[in-house]
Amino acid sequence: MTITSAIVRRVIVAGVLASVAGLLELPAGAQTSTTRQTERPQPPLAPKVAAPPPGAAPKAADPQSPTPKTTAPKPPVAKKPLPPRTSKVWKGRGFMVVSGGAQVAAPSYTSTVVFKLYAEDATLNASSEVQIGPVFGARGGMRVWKNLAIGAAFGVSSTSQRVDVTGRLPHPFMFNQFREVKGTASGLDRFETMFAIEASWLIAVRRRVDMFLFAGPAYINVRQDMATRIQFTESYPYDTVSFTGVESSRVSGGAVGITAGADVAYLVSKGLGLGGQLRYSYASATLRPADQPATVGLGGLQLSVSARILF
Amino acid sequence: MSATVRPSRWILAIIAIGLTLPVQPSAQGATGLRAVAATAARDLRDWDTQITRMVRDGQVRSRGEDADLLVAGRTHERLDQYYQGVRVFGGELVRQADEGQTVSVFGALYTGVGLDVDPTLSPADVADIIEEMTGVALGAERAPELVVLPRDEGGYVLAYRARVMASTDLTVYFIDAGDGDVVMKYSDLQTTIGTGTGVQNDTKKVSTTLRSGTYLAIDAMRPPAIYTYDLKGNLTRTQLYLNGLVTLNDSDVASDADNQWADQAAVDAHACAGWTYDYFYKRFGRLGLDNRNLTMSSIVHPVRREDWASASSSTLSLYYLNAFYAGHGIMVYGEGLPPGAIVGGLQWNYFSGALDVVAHELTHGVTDYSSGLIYRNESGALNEAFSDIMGTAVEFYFQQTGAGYLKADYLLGEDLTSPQSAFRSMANPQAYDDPDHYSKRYLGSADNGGVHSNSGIANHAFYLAVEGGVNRTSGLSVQGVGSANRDKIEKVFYRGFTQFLPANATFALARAATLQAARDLYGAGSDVERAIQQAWTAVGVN
Repeated sequence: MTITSAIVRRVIVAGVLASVAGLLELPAGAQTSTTRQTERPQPPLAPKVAAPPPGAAPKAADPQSPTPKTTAPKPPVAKKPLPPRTSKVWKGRGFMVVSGGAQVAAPSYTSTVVFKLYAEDATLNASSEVQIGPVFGARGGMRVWKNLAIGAAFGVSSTSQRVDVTGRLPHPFMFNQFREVKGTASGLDRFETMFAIEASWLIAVRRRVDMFLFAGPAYINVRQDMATRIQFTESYPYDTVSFTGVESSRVSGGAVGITAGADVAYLVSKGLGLGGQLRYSYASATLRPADQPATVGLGGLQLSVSARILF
Repeated sequence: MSATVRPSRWILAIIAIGLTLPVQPSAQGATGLRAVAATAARDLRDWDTQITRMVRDGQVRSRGEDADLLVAGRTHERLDQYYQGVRVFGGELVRQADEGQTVSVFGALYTGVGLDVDPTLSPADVADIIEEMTGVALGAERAPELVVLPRDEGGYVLAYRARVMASTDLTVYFIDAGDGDVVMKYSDLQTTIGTGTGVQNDTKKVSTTLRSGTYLAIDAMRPPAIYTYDLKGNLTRTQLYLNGLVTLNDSDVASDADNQWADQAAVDAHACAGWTYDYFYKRFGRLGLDNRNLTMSSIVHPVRREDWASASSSTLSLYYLNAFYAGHGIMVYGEGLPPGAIVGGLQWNYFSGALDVVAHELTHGVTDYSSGLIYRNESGALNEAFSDIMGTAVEFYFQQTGAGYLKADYLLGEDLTSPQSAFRSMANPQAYDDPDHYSKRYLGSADNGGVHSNSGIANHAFYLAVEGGVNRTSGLSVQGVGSANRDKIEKVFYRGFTQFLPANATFALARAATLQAARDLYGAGSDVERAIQQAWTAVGVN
């Protein structure tokens, strides 16, 4: 079984568990926080006068007393259309979302590494593109005011990189005689972890569909392979070289940036919503492949399916 | 029911999140590497006991014991790690003992090995795979060795290890003993590029080889092996070697501890020999002296500089103030004189310090393996001239044109002396008392019939064919091809001298041979043919 299929399987299991959690813990008949008001039964249109106790004689009419009012039945009111399922005010306590999907876009970056070759400085220029890869995350929050919740988010992504390399390699026998080389390397791994403090605002979209808009500062940590040396073949007289790949080292670092997105859910039960999430995050970190600085953009655009629990 | 979140709900949620985290293989997997560094008495006792047990159980095997050459009484024993009778690649213990008492144990042992050590493939199968892959057939003594290979990504694999020497690299292959796949390979060719200071205090790259922690002046990056020997002033050994009575070994090879070479004579001899090979290959496609990549050996420090005052005149003129090609790909470079010593009004540096001199001597080797021009009279003069021409051509190939040290010009040996002088001039041979015209050739018997003098005639013809000008004796003018086309005249002379001339060639034959070469290469009536014709005519060779 591949890692990817294992991950997909785990996502399914996670979703089921989350669903079970919602079904087990939410009381029967309880409304999700967004629907509690809208589905509350309308008050009866009965008179508010209390009925006399059984057996009590009817009071004689007291000429001194004002005539008791009798509430005449109001004419039937035309039935209004149902209001939106989510009222303007969300009265739940909080939410939690787990999501899994793909990182569909990420900032590309360039890096330059100088390394020693044949008693001179060789140069490696790398232009790296992050490939599509799986992302997983969770976010949650507690409502603090109206539809506003404050919470935290956590996410991980596992992607690979495609690196276009150009380089200048010194000649083994002569100083200041460089050979140009170019090529493409792939399969360099990248793992990102994101922690964010988020403000989320809940919006009712349809009767059973609502959406969180969220944003906040994020700390993004990356652990990734970066090209540190060009691999090549050469043969006498060494005037040209052939690119075969890159040597890489795993470097890590992190930076504070931003994250924002939207999470749309269809409420399949009273406590569980299923939907999708769009998240964009960005931070800029300085990594040090071969102990030389390189500015790397972190984050990117993520599309996920999500399961939401409202409580 | 209230909306209070119960702990069980959080637990389930956390489990859910945890299950969604990406699955990553462990960096080391099941592979465990146990580093050993024991020097304390108690640890050493434990390790002695452990080693005894491991030897008994077949987990380690002694590879042998070597005496310590630096600390008397010490010995060093290396023990290889084994798993079910198969060596674990890289697993090893090194035990140092002092008069039988263990002093230290260092090593690295792999743990968690769990493999079926019964290979599907035989060593012969793997040898076939390697031959199919590399074209190299392994001899019986190079049969692949079955090993347990710890993998970088974790775990172990049963593999065959084989060291394969191909045309350009020495590669160690690890072939999966089950399916024949290459599971790992790396170059085992321990060639290096160092830097060194040349005779003129310039910095050069030198191609060296690392052996036993010492860098040796052995160039293994070029197709022929190029050795530079430091005879450390031992003239007797030098002469025995030149006569084939002793062979030189690694201890005779010039060496350096850190690959930052300071022996100026060795640096220039080694670097310039390589450059000369490069020139002949790149310009003419020639594979070294014999066109079959004959090993090239340079000898520096054949005598000691400080002995110069007591040296015989023949030793002084041959081993101090000269350089020569000794046959069989061997060059000997004179030691020069100590600073302050003057001969002929000049201070003399190491003779390997002049690129044109090095190329000149190596070209004698080319002649030796091609035309074989007899080293006397006219053929000898042509032999010398061809070395001068190629020496100058190499200089122009690698150095900037100009005057002064380390500049390309038409002088020979101008980088050796202070103040700057030269042995010969191709532009004006008469400036060094050499003839620039056939009518002025030396006809005596000295110097094998004036081989170092009469060479000026052919040298000047080469110069005129390139640069053009007027011969001072004949007054005839030559329209040269220009310095930008110098390579054309070089090719004509190379072709004529190595392909057409017989061993007892004359100047007239040299003219005919180079004209034929010019027509072959550039066509009849070409500028090159015209320049060659005019040049020989101008120097009186018809």
